[in-house]
Amino acid sequence: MSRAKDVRHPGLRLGEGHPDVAADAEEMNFGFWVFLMSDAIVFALLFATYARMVSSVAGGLGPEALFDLKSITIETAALLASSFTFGMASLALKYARSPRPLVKWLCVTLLLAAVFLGFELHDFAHMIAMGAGPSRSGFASAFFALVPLHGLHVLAGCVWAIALMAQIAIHGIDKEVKLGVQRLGLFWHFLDIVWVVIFTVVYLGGLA
Amino acid sequence: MTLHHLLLGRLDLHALPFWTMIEHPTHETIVNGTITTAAAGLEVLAAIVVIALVTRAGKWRYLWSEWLTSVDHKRIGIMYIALSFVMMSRALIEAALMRTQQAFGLGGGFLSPEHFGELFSTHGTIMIFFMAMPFLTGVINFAMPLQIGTRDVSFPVMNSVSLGLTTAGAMMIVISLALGKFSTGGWSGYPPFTEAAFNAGVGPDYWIWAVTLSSLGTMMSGINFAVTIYKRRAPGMTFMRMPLFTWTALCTAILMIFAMPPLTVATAMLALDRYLDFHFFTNGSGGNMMNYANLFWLFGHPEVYILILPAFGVYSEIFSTFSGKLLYGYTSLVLATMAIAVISFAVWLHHFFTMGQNASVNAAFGIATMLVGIPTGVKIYDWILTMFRGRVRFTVPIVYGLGFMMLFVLGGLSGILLANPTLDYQVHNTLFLVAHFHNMLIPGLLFGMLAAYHYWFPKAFGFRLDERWGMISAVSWIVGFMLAFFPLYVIGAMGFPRRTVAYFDPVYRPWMLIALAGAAVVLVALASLFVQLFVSIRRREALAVPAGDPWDGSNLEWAIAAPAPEYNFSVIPDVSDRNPFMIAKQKGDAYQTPAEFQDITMPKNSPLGMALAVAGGALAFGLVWHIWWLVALSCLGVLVAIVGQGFARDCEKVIPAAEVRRQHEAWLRTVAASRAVPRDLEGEPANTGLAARDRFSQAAE
Amino acid sequence: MSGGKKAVGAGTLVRRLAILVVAALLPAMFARRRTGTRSLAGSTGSHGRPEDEQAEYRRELGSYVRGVSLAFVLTAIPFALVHWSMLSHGWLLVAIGVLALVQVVVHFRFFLHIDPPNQHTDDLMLILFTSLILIAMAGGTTWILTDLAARMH
Ligand code: HEM
Ligand SMILES: [Cu+2]
Repeated sequence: MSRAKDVRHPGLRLGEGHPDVAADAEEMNFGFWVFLMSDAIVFALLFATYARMVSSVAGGLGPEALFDLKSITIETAALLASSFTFGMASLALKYARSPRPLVKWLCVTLLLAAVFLGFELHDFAHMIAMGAGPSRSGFASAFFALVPLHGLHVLAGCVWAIALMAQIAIHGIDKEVKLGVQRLGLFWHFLDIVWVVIFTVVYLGGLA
Repeated sequence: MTLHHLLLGRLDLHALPFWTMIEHPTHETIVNGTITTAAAGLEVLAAIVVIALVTRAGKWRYLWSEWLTSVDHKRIGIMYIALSFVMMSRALIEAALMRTQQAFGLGGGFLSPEHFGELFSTHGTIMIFFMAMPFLTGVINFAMPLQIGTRDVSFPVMNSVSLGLTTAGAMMIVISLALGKFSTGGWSGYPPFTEAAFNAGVGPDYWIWAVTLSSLGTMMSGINFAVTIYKRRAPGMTFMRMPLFTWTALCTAILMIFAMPPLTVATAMLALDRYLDFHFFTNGSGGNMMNYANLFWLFGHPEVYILILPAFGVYSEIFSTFSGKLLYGYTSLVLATMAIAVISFAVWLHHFFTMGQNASVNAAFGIATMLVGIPTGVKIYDWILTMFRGRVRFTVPIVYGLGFMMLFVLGGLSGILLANPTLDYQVHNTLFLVAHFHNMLIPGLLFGMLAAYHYWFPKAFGFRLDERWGMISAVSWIVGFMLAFFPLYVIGAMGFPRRTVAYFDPVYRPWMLIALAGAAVVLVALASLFVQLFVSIRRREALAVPAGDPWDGSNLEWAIAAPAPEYNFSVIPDVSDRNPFMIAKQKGDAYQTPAEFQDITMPKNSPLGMALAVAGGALAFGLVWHIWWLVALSCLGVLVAIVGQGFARDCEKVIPAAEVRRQHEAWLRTVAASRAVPRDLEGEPANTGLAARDRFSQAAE
Repeated sequence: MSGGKKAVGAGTLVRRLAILVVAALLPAMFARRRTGTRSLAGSTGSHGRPEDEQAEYRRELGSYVRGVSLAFVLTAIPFALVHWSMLSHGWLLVAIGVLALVQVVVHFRFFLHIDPPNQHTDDLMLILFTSLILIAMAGGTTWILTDLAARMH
């Protein structure tokens, strides 16, 4: 049967030090992984739509005039770093004896996410101020569906992280929390991948 | 912004179905207003009667704790099917109304074009999203975990959330009859017609949110089924030992996972256009409405295979069971199912051959479309060979199956015609197409689901359905379908456009009258289904099959009592081959007492599904009517419910081993007291669910 | 290349590219050395023995470090290429596209821990199937809409 000893699901594998989650981890993570793949289709279609509509500026401003590479660089750095800090949180979950390091790394991750979201909001405000809000053109619509959707995902991830810390405060690091952190990790790293495609297709592609 | 707007958004007296006819009484408004008011009145009345009955019987607590908050896959499945029957009734009445209109539509008829538009839009939307999808989701929910030998699906609470969201979506359509108007944009909701510029009212919004809720629910069901089949099969049940219905459930689940996102993207973009003035599909400002057709059918075509594959699975089960033979060509059926599932992602453009892309694009998709015929043909031959030299028992499911086999091939042939772009240009958007897809959906999907309903009903409730009324219904369905739709091939080929309220050429009329007769017969079929249910409940003692195996079945679901216990299996079975229960019966080791019973852990009830149904429904309602406080409040509700769920602990209960043993031994006593019946007596009261081994019973090689 | 940026001279271009390549290779070399301990800790499992656990911890930490440094480099290169307009428009698009693909693989490998030979086949099949559907859907959409757009002019 598939409840083999060497559980080999994607993402962090807690291993034999955590027998309480072994039975559920594979099923839970696989299910979440399937959800992510379905979410990937959503993003893929938004990318295809964006690629088609990038030239439909309807006489308004296009990518070159609107995007600011500096702010994108900061956002990217923050998000990449947050993937690493989440990795540290995962390791803390696996190896640390107390909840302290886990919570600490989750907080750092949240901080980086806040930097990301702050700069992203600033970008959006800038675009709207330049008269390129979502109702300006097909291009602007496609942009404001794709990029903020990723941002909303990040925001959802933050809410989830905060909820997990609250659970830790109430229940300690129990089975549910472990499974939750594992899945949030998948989510977080997945969003990073989406961002790689966003900065490539939308920003770099638009400025190239 | 007035107080009224603040509180009720754009909801006002004009939303009531009789208001226009009071304000502007003309012949047209009175006729249409009266029909809608009567229908809405009937709906409200039905709701009141149900509430009154439940209250009088004092059953609210029972309903809440045994059904609405239950996470038992069997109960959730049954609730899905109940929803499907309710919605089917409404959609069929609407179909009959449309047929009546067109029968008398020479030079006008009695319905206004808007009313007719609402009718085909609600009919189509209900039939696909709130009849067909709940039906097949219900059947999979009920049967698949039993077939693979597990006690529940992988995510039982999410299962109940799926049901909640689907129900909330259905409620949007139900409410739209009494408050405001539904979309006139058809089940596909094409912009720019459904954009705010042309359709500022609530109709398209009702459609958008109904469909979006259902699509989210379906996506979750897909994940649930796929993970269950991947991770929860009983020990020894390898993929190639799974019953064929489970195989089709797996492929359908995979299609759900990947085909629902395009729909969600399409409806969400349309909503952004309508609510926030985006320009995805508008005429001006760089919008591109052709992308909508593209996105919608990226979902739409796989969707028709989501609809048909489970029915194929059901037919595979019943042709083998009721022919007393093993399934012919198991491996080829599995491969054909997989091939269909994969090809179904590569043909979506055949729904818009006429949109203007160049001929080589059309040719590529046309050829891909014709390819689907090959695996489908393989299946048909496999089923024929399954029956070949068997002793076919003419039970209700087999009658549906034979009706399917004959009619579906015809429908498939008309599909191959349509797959040729040059021909499609001629009959695109005519009633020929309407005839084609009803020809696939009714004999394919609907007959399959009704056969499944007959086949597994005894396992759900412990008694069989009445055969006589079942037969009346099945025959009426087949005859009614042929009368209602064969004429449409003819008038479609003569050029009659679909979605047309009236016509001015009398040649269409005789055909329309025949089609009307067909619709009447279909209504008889529907009524017989309800009579049958009623009669069967009355005769439930005589029809009881407590031993659990009324049809001499071969898979695990028949190896347990009927109705199935909450935990399905006293001990998880060990599987060593296909058709495990048939082999056990042959070897004489069915109905054993296991050496040892263990405590069984089952998930506790959860109110999350109901909470999200209410919050999701309120959210959609607020969005439709622009009641922003309700939108904010229900968003908050959704958030609190989901985050709150994360804090839940202690979600499992234990059924002690002693109790399991008690139930198991009681069942075995029933089996011991039962007289085994040969297949000739299958339909008689003598059949209490224990199959005799006679020369006609299935042989496992 | 609009926006008034001047294309840089060939010499500077080569120099900058060389720096970037070296920067890209550094963490990779660093990675090679680390993998030595992998098989050891990977197969035995920790079982609470502190020295094993230590080794496994260091191995996993190393994997994250390698992942994030590769990610940063693979991000920096395309950003630099675009910022200084180092290639002609067409080649620029190709280059950033390829680098993004590589980076996606890196993220899968080091953050999501998808490593084919050791992977549970279910997950791998899932990813491959998703990629297939994703390419069909996004590619098909692009094909169809581009064709339609071309025919409208
Ligand atoms: C058996 C009785 C049924 C009858 C008499 C019937 C009748 C009709 C009629 C008259 C139309 C409108 C045709 C037009 O465009 O002029 C229609 C459309 C449609 N029907 Fe049915 N129908 C039946 C069953 C079903 C079933 C079982 C399904 C699906 C599972 C279904 C799905 C649809 C869909 C999707 C449309 C297209 C709606 C649109 O134009 O957007 N129908 N049907
Ligand atoms: Cu199709």
